[in-house]
Amino acid sequence: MAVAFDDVKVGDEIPSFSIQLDQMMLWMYSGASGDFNPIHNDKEFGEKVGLGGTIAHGLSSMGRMQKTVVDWIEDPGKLKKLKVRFAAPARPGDTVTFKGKVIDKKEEDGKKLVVLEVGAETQDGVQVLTKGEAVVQL
Amino acid sequence: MIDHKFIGKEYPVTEYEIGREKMKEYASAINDSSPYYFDREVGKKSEYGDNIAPPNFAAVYSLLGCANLFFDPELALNFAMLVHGEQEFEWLRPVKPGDVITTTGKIVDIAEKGNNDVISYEAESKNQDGDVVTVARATFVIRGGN
Repeated sequence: MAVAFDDVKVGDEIPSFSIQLDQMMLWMYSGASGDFNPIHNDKEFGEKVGLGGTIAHGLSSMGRMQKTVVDWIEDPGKLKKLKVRFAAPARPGDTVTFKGKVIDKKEEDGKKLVVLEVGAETQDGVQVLTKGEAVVQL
Repeated sequence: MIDHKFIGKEYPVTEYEIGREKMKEYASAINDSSPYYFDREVGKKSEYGDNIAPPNFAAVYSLLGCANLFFDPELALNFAMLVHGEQEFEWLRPVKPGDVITTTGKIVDIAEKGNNDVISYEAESKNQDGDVVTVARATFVIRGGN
């Protein structure tokens, strides 16, 4: 059952999503998105430019944040807005956890909207996505 | 420092046709297995009448024009020092396979923050019916200034 507006309370946390990244996932995102910047694909290049290896695409983290919210609402068309700050890169080997919490419920122009605070961090507490906000229409 | 006279500069319209397999490939790459993208029956029975693209697929069709900004000879950005600071997508309606999306991008702000230069870019995407599907708002930071 999809989540219903009346059942949602401010302070509710949505189910989190955790995933351990590997280099293959970065290659897959490169192919799927068309972003072949070597900082995501070539370990030696990443080392040479001072990143200590490859880093995941910021937009792939945003994508997994989107997935986490969509898993909660079921219908992806109900996601109206997502905003994030790319605070720190995630890297192959990192386990990244994506979270969301309801911070507001409102009705605008007859639309029932739920606002979530969202973010992602690594197993070491490195904040990957911050100042995140999602708006869904239920 | 980047000359503020470029605030308001528009870039050429980009066109992108949504492909069913391409949007599914993107969904897989972000580990999103929603049947709304993958299951034709679920798509048909939904209010959209077909499968829809994962919302974040906007990263592909609405940010296409960013390359024009990154490599704009007038701005001459130091691409090696450029990082994506923030991203916002506002979705007005879903996109579906076969939709032809045209996107107009422009610089909406240029600012200096500490040692960094920050460019705010906004792109509006419309479908073949002229309806706005997505508004993308991005900030790009040139570390150490341009």
